[in-house]
Amino acid sequence: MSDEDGPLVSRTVYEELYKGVEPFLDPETVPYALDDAVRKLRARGLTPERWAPYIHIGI
Amino acid sequence: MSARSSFRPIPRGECKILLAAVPAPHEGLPLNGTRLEMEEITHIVPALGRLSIPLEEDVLHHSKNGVYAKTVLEKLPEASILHLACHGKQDHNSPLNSGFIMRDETLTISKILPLNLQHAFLAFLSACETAQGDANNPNQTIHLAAAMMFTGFKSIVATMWYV
Repeated sequence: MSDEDGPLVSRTVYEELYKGVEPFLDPETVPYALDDAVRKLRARGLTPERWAPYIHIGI
Repeated sequence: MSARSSFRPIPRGECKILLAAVPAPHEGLPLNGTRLEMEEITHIVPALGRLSIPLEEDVLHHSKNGVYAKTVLEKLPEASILHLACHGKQDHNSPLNSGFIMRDETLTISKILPLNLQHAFLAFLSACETAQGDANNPNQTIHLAAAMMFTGFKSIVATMWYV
């Protein structure tokens, strides 16, 4: 991980979480959004130590 | 764990996020990029959805040092989402004394546990590397993330630094 990756990951997670107009926020989006963010980092051709260090636990 | 069964969906308008960054912790290396990270979040989360903290502690208002432990403890009961950008610290002898290094002291799990966090939903633990840069401690973040589940948060995202 590096200093510029953190903002990308959190931006992706929050964008997914706050997306749309449903009256309630959907917790199910969080792990999938994290997965999306990690995929984006991988797609940039980054080595695993840049995208591996993200975990999600819980619902 | 009954996180799923005890979870109440959060109405969008009531979801409050606590953004807490500690660019200059009282021990350990400074963190770069916390202000940028918090700014990016403000582009997504409406201003009304953000809990206010003292300007002097707020990296969004150019605070150099960041948040005090007591500010997090005060605001946390109102928060649905906690976004924490700071170092983590593991106490192997006393796991509940593990926690997050704030501007002034370590915000230990033991201090968070007694709080009644009725709204707690997501904790995003960002850049929680070990203070000493100890490369032998990759499990620390898992321990801290798991401990946060016990405080009432239902969903935890955490980064693990490999130093």
